[in-house]
Amino acid sequence: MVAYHPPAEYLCDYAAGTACEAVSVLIATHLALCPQCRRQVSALDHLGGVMLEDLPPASLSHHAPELPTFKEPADILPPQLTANWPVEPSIPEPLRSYLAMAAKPPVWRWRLPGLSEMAVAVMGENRRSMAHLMRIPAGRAMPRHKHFGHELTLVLSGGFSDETGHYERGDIGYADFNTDHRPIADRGAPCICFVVMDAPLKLTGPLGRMINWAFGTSR
Amino acid sequence: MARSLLSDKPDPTSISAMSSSPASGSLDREKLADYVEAIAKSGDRAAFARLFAVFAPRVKAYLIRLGTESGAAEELAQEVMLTVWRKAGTFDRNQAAVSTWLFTIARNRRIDLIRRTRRPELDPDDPALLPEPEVPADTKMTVAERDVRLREALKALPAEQISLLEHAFYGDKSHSEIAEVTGLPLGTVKSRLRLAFARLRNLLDEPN
Repeated sequence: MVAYHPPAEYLCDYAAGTACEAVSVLIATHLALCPQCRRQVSALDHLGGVMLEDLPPASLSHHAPELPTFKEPADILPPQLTANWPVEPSIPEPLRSYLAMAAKPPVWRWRLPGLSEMAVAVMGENRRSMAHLMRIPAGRAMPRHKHFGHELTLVLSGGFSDETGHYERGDIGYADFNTDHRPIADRGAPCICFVVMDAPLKLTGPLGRMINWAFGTSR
Repeated sequence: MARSLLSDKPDPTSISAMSSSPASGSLDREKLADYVEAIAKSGDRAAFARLFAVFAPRVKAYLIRLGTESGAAEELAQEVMLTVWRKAGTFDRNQAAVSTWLFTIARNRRIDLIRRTRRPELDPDDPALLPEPEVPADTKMTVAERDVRLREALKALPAEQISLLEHAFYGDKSHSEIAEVTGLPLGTVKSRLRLAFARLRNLLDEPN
C-alpha cells in the first residue's frame, strides 16, 4: 500500500492540465500504483466538469460538424507504437513507454559512489526540469545532499530510507530547499526510482563537497 | 486571460458562484448521459445535436479562457464534439458526469496539440496497475451525490483558495506560475492549494 503521496498542488496541476510533461509522467505512473490518488484526481476532473457546465457559453460561428457516416467501434485501440527497447515490465505505464520508445537505448551511467542514472527523454517545465531513473545499490547510501529546487522521487522497485521516512514501490518522496538528506537503499535489492527535479542537487557531506569541487558542478 | 479573477467584484462565472449559476441549473445531467448512450447505441444524430448545443459553446468558452484564439477555439471545440460522437461507447455514466468526460477530452486534446504528443496517462489495462480495492456497493457515492457534495464544498471554501483553483482551471497556470503571477510566496500557494484539496477530499471520501 502506498504511504507517501505527491503534494496536492501536483495532483491539481495534473488534473487542470498545467503540469509539465515530466511531472505528468511521474504523477500518472504513481496513479497506476495508487488507487487513492486515482480517486483524488477523478474528483479534480469532476471539478473541471463543474467548471465547464457553469461557464457562460461562447457564441459559435459554425454549425455542428458534418458527422462521419459510420462510428468507430469503441474498442478500437490507439495505434500501437512500437517499442525500440525492451523495458522491465514491472515499470508501469506511461513511464514504461517513454523508456521503450526512446530514440537511444536507455543505459545506466555511473554518477557518484552509490548512484547511477539513466536519462529519460521527457520535456520538463520551461525545459528546466530534469527527469531520470536513479539506481542505488542494495544497502548503499547516497552522498548527503541538499536541493536547490523541487524534486519528486517515485520508487519503482526496492526501497530507501532517509530522515523523512521509509519509501517503497509507488511512494513519492518530495524534497525542496529545506531538504538536506542522505537516502539509504534497503538491503536485498537495488532501489530504482524515477526522479523529476527543477534544479540540480548539491552535495553537502564532506565527501560530497570534494566531489562538487572536483567536478566543478553540483552533481 | 480571464477577467478580474482576483478583483473584489463578484464574477458571476467564478467557481464560488457556481452552484447558484443559472447556467448549471438548466442542465439536466441524467438527460445528457441519456444522449451519450443513445449515440453509442444507435448513432442517434438528434441526441448528438442536443449535446452539441449544450457543450460546444461551453468547450469553446473554456478554450478561450485558457488563451486560445476564438477561431482556433471553435475548431478545437468541433473536434472535441466529434470525439464525443466517435467515442460515445467508452462513456460510463456510473463513473463520471458527461461534463467531466467532456472536460477531460478538451483538456487532453489541447495538451496534445500544444506538445504534439499524447498527454501522459495511466493505462487501465496495464498488468502493472494496482487495482482498486473492492468497495461495498452501498457505501459508494453515485456521480450525482458527488456532484452535490462537490458544489457544497466549493461554496464553503474561502475566497483565497477558490482564487487559486480558478488560476489553475481557468487560467492555465501551474502552482509555480500562480506564485509568479499573483506575487504570492510559493509556500503560500502550496499550502492554500493543499488546504482546499484536503477539504474537497474529506467531503468526497466520506460515505453518507
